[in-house]
Parts: sequence; structure tokens; C-alpha cells
Amino acid sequence: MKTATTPCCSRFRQGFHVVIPATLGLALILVPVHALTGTAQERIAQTGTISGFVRDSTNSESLSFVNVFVRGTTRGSATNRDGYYVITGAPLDTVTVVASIIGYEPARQTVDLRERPSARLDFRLTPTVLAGEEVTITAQRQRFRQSVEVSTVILDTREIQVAPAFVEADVFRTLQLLPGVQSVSDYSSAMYVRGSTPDQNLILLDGITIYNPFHLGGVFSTFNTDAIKEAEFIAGGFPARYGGRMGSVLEIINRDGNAMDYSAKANISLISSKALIEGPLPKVGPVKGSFMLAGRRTYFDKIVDLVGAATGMSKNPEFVGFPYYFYDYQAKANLDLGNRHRLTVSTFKGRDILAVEDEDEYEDAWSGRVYNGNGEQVYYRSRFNLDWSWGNTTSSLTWRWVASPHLVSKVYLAGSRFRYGIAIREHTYEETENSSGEVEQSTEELGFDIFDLVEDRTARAELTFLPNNRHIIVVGAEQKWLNFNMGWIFQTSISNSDTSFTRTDTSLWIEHHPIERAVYLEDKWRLSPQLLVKVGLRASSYSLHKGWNLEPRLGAKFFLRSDLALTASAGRYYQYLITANPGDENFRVIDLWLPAPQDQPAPSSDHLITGIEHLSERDLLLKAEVYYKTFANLVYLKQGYVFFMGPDATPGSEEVFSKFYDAKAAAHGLEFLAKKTSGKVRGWIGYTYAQTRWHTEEYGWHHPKYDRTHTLNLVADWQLTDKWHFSTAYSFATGNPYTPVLGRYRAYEEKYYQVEDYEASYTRFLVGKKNSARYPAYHRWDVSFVKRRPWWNGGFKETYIQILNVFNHMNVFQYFYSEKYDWETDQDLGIQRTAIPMFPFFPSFGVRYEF
Amino acid sequence: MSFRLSAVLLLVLCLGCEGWQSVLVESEDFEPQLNVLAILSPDEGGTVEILVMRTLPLEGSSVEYGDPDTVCYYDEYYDTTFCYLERPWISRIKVTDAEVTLSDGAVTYPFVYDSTQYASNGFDVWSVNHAGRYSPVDIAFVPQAGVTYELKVETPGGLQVSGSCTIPPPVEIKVDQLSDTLQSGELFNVVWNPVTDYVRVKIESVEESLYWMQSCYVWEEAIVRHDSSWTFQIVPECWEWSDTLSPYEEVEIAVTAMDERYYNYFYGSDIADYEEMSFFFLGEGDTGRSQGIEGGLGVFASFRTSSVRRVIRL
Repeated sequence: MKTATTPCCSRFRQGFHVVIPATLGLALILVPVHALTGTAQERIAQTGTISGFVRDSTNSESLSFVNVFVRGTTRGSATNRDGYYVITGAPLDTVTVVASIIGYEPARQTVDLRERPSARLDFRLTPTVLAGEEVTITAQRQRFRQSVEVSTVILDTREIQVAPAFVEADVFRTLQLLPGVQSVSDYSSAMYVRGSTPDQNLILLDGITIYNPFHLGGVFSTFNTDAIKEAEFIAGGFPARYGGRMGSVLEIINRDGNAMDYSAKANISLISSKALIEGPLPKVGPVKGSFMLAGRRTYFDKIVDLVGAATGMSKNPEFVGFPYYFYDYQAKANLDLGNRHRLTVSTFKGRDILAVEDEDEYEDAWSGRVYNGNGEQVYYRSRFNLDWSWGNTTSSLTWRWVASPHLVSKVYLAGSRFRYGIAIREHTYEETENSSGEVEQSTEELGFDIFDLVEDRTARAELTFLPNNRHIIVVGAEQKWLNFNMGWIFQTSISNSDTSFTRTDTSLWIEHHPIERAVYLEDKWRLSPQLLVKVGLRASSYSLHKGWNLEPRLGAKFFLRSDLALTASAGRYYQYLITANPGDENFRVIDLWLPAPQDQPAPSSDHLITGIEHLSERDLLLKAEVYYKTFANLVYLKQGYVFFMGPDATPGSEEVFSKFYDAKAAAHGLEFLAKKTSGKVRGWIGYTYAQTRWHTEEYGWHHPKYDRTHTLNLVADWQLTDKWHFSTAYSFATGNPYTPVLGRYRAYEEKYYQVEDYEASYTRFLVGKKNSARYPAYHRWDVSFVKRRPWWNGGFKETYIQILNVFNHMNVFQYFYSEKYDWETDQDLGIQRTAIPMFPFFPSFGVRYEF
Repeated sequence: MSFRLSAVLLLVLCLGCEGWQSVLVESEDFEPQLNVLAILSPDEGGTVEILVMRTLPLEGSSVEYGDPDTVCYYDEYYDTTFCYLERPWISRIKVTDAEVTLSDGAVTYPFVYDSTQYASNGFDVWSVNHAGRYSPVDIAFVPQAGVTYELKVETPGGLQVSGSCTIPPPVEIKVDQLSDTLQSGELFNVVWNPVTDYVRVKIESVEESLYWMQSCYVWEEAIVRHDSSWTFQIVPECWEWSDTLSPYEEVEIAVTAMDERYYNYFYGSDIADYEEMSFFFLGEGDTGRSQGIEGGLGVFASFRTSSVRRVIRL
């Protein structure tokens, strides 16, 4: 179906006109409420308000979960992700306010509230670690006390950096080691969370949705770990401000950039290098700011070219080099316009490129009679090009306004674009001499284009209202203008002395421009010192469907003791964008995003989670959770239709991607996590018991490809000496399901009785119940050693070596069945099964500089 | 303490011992079944094809080998006698001892295994397929339109299948709506009377055997569902170096109306099979194609066909 295209920018402006007034409307409601609750209460109660930001003194990065309190009173608060805090009910007196967090020197400031009951106090905390060492923010205790979200894990830079990974640190690889997160193979960093598929994960980079966060089919993620400040992962039961996905949320927060001094990092590994530079922006009057620029590129292609040139191999016409590379970069700049307004501009681009070019030229090479015996080919030239590229481009503008100590507004304007394209061109030119001795010329051009474009333009406005120490209310409105454009086009062009024509076959064309809208409200409410709840409601709509869907959310935390809490969460989640990838594929080159079909209800999921958490004196977090999830109206592609259009489809139609099973699913599980975030030895042990089952009419209830019943992960990070550092990760998991082969038969060929000497049948395997068998258990042990030495200008140099799959355990990626033939005795021996392995023993090394 | 640590390490080491390998496998939960093809059509002198095979477990060869034998032949071109070693074989998949009958309710037509197509020494040769072909004892038997036929196949080992199939009414191309001479590059319609939901339409040069010698060749094919016409444009493939271009090309336009089972087995299954295939085509299989066969695999189906010839002006 083709729908009329509305010019993007005008549509965007229209939406802007919708979202901004909507938010201003919300503000008009909230501000009077705020007047009646916050400040009015304070006037009546004769108390004051203290608010401000807490930042790191070395780089001005905001610090979250810092404990800020009025000394000698019970009044206090914790900073949010922006480093912002508000303390209400402070005595109208000269008071001392303390900001403290593990890893930093506590800071104190005194303020006199007798003259003005509202004060702004910003803090800059100094790290307690030695100069040059990496600072790890440890806010575990405050998070434990303040955070209601269950199933949440926050990974800091150190945790992301130190876990052994393929070639280089990767946030997705680290997340795959957490309970509840499963992977389908070593070759993919896609996350399957509590029964959800990768397209059900909401991946946000500084608030912008990323649609395909992978390089090289999922071997690497697109996020440069050097640029990441923090990664928050919510495996389920996420609050109302998140929507549009029904699985999990991964929010990556990039570094703001060092506002105090210029600094840089460089990392050189076997196949790629990355660098980061950050520093303050020039101060102009009250306007000051910072920037961060990070980039990465693989260069195996360049190495192969160099080796080819050095050895002379590149002179060989057959030499094709290594035709693949990827790069990504991200930039971020913050501008503080006084102390109430901040503008943040952020951009990200990642691209994978596979380019192959081949040329052939023959002169008199085929000087023999060809085909019809009438002519001789005297000259032939051909050129083949494959240009295969894909990647994301995002950009955003965020305006944060501290309207009053109790009211903070944020407005986002963001664009996210994902494009995938394959272009194949073959150009042939030939000269043929006919029997009369005349030379005839002919050219032929063949082209094949596959493309998939997803564009997402988002406007979001959000108000955070902090009326008192018991409530944090967030209200927001969001609108997404989406463009989907997918097509497969064949082109043929022939020109010779007899004929000349060009033919274009559009075998697939899908174009949609849906709009997704949402409004949400949530309140984090401390009902009593023991009970903390977060209630929320999200209402969402989708322009291809009628009406609004309500998504209630509830989270609760009940403190049995100050270090022991029961948690619970429930919610309903709708998703309007899906991927049309075959459910059984175990190597996903690309996510094929599509809007949810117009004639099917939106996919939805209900989450129910409960658990218990304990945080010991030594910062050891023990957590156990059970969950139950149901999925309705899932869109499960009939896989064959991806490869064959089938007789139902007509050229140019979208029917090839419209054959779906009516599917539903259910998942339940039990997870344990023991995580230590301070001390010389840090890390975690995670165990997951999980059962995920899908139901389609054709296959009944069955386990999906990614289901793993038991998963045990052990991640440890050990500071051996001042110089040496060791980290390790061990994983055990039940093997992934596969459909077993039971026997063999021969399928009949139709043309057997129509065409002479045609083979009547061909061998096929008889398979059993879908995904009813499992591969052998998965084991992998990875280690990493890092040696750190001082380097130029107070910086340091790290040399690292890491080994993946130390025992070279053969983890099965896929079974392949074939007939075994003994060529010596000329006998067919039966059917053999070959296991295609995942990562073998794989050592790698590299150097990292920071200065 | 140290002992425990060693034991754990030993265990982990042993878990890592397995290596890359291919192994011959044996079936678990395998139950043998018959796999039958039965296709009936009254057109063009009648089509009565019945083939019988069986399923096999994974273990063992699909054929039984005889002793190698030296086969020699004389090649006139080289004026030499060439010899090679041939290992004769008999398919383990082929069923030769089945009792096969077709009944129209009034008369039962027995079928017998046709051994004429196999090598004189009793072994199969590669040019012959794995299927056991059964021919009607009554060689004049031709299926009739509108009649429902019951198929029964039974082996001495106790395997049996059955099925029933009704022959559709005839399909006819509406020749009055088709001009005698067609022009290359122009659009034209083929229209027929609706008989079944699935129709294959094909247009092809008559002189197929001259494919490489003639100037141009025409071939177009489409599957039409729930419709009784097909519009298409002929774009002949011509060899540009030919200096013997003929201005005309004779083509045959054929319409084959398939019943649903026929269509599902030979066309729909291609799509369904991919459901069980892995993304990288590292193996293929399905739960066994079965259309109209009770108790086993295969297809019992019917089709009707109609064809006309026309000349295309190039």
C-alpha cells in the first residue's frame, strides 16, 4: 500500500504544534498545583527549599544518586540522573547542607534561609581515588533506597569496560551476562530479555531511539564504550515514561564532556581503533559548556591492503582485499545558559560498509565459436559492483529548564534514521564479429536494489514536578512521525543492434507513514518510610489503528529493614513497530523494521514481577526475582515468504511481508543476582531459570530459538596489583532449541512426468516437532589481563590481552545434515551431522591510552 | 579446599574437550511411512501416474550396492572404447511389492509394479529414480471428469495409505478471445473457464529442441489464483549475433487447472518448507509433505489442461 507522502518537515512542524501546546497545557495544570503544594506549603509551614546540581569537580559530569541532606535534620534527598536534587522542609535558619557519595570527598555548604526560603546550592565533588585512576561512581546504596524500578541494573563505565568481550568492550556483551538476558549465539549481541525478542527492547541513546544498534550483524554493538557514562537496563516492569516497546529498556547515557579541562582517550586493538576527545567550550558571558567527540573505525580492510601492497599480492587481478569496514562517531555538546537553562545537542552516526568491485576484460580471449556458431566474440568487458551498507544516524536537541526548584521541564526534538541498502550492478559490454565480418556491439546492465529505510522524528516534552520530599511527579507527551520504506527492485537494460530496452520490476514496495502518540503520568510516592510506590499511566495511539490504548504501570518497594526490601511491579505494554525477521534465524544481519499491520491489533504484553533485594554493609547486592509475562497479538512472520514471494504476491506489492501467524507467547522465570560493586574484587554471579513458549496455529506451543532454561554467569573483575588487573567471565547455559531431524524421504517433483529424464524426486529430511530438541549445553570461559602504566602528561597506558573461550569448547551454533559419501569405495554411508561452532579459542590484544 | 578446586577445574576442562566433528547419526523416534504420488488427469490421452516410496531412517545408505562391474562402450568420435567401473545399486526407498488399487465406487482397478524401466540385471541405474512405478493392469484406463476415485496402497509389511480424489471438469482456453497472431511486446489476455482456484499458465516456444540454434525463444509462466484470465507481455529472448532472425515464432499457450492438493504439494510447499529451514540454508527439511494421502506422505491429486498454438510476430 502506498500512502501519500507528507513532507517531513511540515509534518514535523505540525507535530511540534501539537506536542508543545500539550505540554504547556500540562504545565498550566501543574504550576498552580505546584503553587498550592510546594511553595505554598512551605510558606504555611515556615520551611525552606534547597535545590541544585551535583557534579564531579574533575570533569563537571553530573552525579546521580548523591545523598544530599541538611545536617542535623532528617531532611534530605538524592540527585536524579541529571544530578539535580530538591530538599523541601528545611528549617528557616542558617543550615549546613552535605553532599556525599562513595568514591568522593563529602562536600558541605552553608546557606542562610532566613532571608530567602529558597536557595540554589550546586556542589562539585572531588574523587577520593588517586589521580589518573579511573573513577567509578558507586551509588549503590542510594539507588537501593530511592529506586522503585524492579529488574533494573545500572552498569557504570568500569563494569562495561572490564568484562572480556570479542576484540573490544561492548555494552551489549556485558548486558548479556546479566540474569534474564539471553543470546542466541556468540555471533550476535542481540538481547533476548525474559522471553522478548530484540525488537521489543527499547534502545535509547541520550533519549533517542536507535533501531539497529549493531555492527557486523550483531557481532559488535554500535555504542563506543569510551563515550558511555552510564547504561541503565530495565529487564521488565518499566515505568510509564517509557513506551513503544514491550520487552525491556536500555538507556545509554553518553558523557557530557569534560567542562573543566581538555582530555583524550585512544584505544588501538587488533581490528579497530577508537578515540575520544572532550573539553570545555569557550565561555561567553554567562554561557558556558562542554563537548565530547568520540569515533571508531575498523581497519582490517586497510591492513589487508597494506599487506597486499607489501607482498605484491595486490598486483594480482584476483586480489580483492577485505571489502568490509564499519565506523561510528558521536558528538555531544552542552550549553549552560545561566544556571536554569541547558541546551544539549547530540548526534550519532554508525555505518557498516561492504563494497566489492570486480572487473574483467578480454580481448580475443574467446576467439572460438560461441553458442550459435554464427559469430566470434572478439572483445568482452564486465564490471561488477556490490555496495552494501547500513547504519543509524541520529541527532537531538534537548532543552532543560529549571523553571523553579520544584519544576523542571525537558523538551526533546530528535531524529533517528536507519537505512539498509544493497545495490548490485553488473555491466557487460561485448563486441562480436558475425559471419559477414561485421563487428556488432552490445551492452547489458543488470541491477538489483534492496533497501529498508526507517525514519523516526520525535518531539517530547516532559515536566518533572517535585512538590515535596514524598512525591516526584513526571508528566509528558510524545509524538513520533515515522517513515517506513522498503523495496526490492530489479532492473535490466539491454542494448544491441537488434533491440534496446530497459525493464524495471518492483517486486516489493512497502511505504507507510504512521504516527505514534503518547501521554504519560507517573508519580513516585513515598507512602511511608517503609513503602515506596510508583504509579503511572500511559495512553498511546497509533495512526494505523483506531483509538487509544491504556498502559497502566505500577511499581512498589517495601523495606522490611533498611537493607532488605520486597519489590513488585506490573504493567501493560503496547508496541506498534515490529521487525519482520524470520523467527528461526540465528544470525541476524539486519532488523527489518515495519509498522504493525493495519488489520491486526497492536502487539501487547503484560508483566508481573516480584522479588526481594538485600544490600549488605559491604555493598554486596543480593537480588531474587520471579516474573510472568504474556504476549498477545504477536506478529510472527511466515518465514518462507521472505525468500519466495509466493504465488499470492503480485509484483510491486507488499504481500511478501504480510504473511503472519497469529501468535501469542508466555514466559516465566526466576532470577538470582549477587553483585559486588566495591572493593578489589567486583563482579556478579547471575542465575536464570527461564521458560519461554510461543504459540502459533501451525506449530502449537513450542520453545523459540532463543529459549535457554538455565543460565549461569559469573563475571569478576580483580585488581591484582597497582599495575595488573584481571577480569573473567564464565557462562553456562542450556543449549538452544532446534528442530530435530528424524528421518528422510524424497519429495516428488512435478515435472517428472512432463519432462523426459527428469528426476522424479529429491531427498528431504523429515523433522520432528518444532524446536523440540536442544543443542548441547553452552560453556564459555573468557579471561582478560590488563597492565596499566603511567604515560605522558599524567595519563596512562593500558596493555591488554584477552582470550575468549579459553578451553575452546565447541558450542553449537547450528547442526548441518548431509549425506556422507565414501569416495574411495564409491558408497553412500548414511546421514552425517556436522556441528557449526560458535566462537573458538580466540586471543586478542590491544593498547589503550588516556591523557 | 585445594582438592575441591582441582575437581572443579578438571570438570570445566572436561566440558571443554569436545571438538569440531561430523558424525554419522541414527534416528530416534523414527516410524516408517509410505510416500505415494498419485496424479490423475483425463486430458491428452490421460495421465495416470502412481509412484510408491517409503521413508528411511537417518542411518545407513539409501541404496544397496551390488558388486562393481566394468562397463565398456565405443565412442565413434574418438574411435576408442572407454571403460569405467560401475557399482550397481537398488534403492532402499523404492517400494516394489505394494498392493495398489484405484476404485471409482463401481469398478476397482488394480495396479502392478512396472519393472520394465530398470536394468536387466535387476539393479537400478542412476537414470532411473528411487520410486517404484505402478501401472494399471487395464492399460486402457483413463480417469473421467466428475468421478471420485479411492486409492489404496498396502505393503506386506503392514504399511498402508489411502485417499480419495475427484476429477475436476475440463478447462478450456477461450480461443475466440485470442487473436491468431500475436505481436511481440504487446499486452494480451488469455481467458479460460474457471474450473479450480489454482491455474498455471504457460507460453513457450514450440521448437524447444532448437533452443540454442533458433533466433528467439519465448517462455513465460505464472500461477493465477482465483481468476480466469492472465494478461501478459511477450518479450522474446533473441540472440544478437544471429543473422538468421525469423520474423515469426510459434508458441504454445497452455493452461493447467490444478486442484488444491496439487497446488499445495508442488507450489505451496516450497514456501512452507522454508519454515523449517535455517537462515543460512545449512540444512533443509519439513514434517513431510502430505496432500490427500491418509496415513502417510505424498500427494493424490488431479489437474486439467488445455492448450492452443499461436504465432508471434517478432
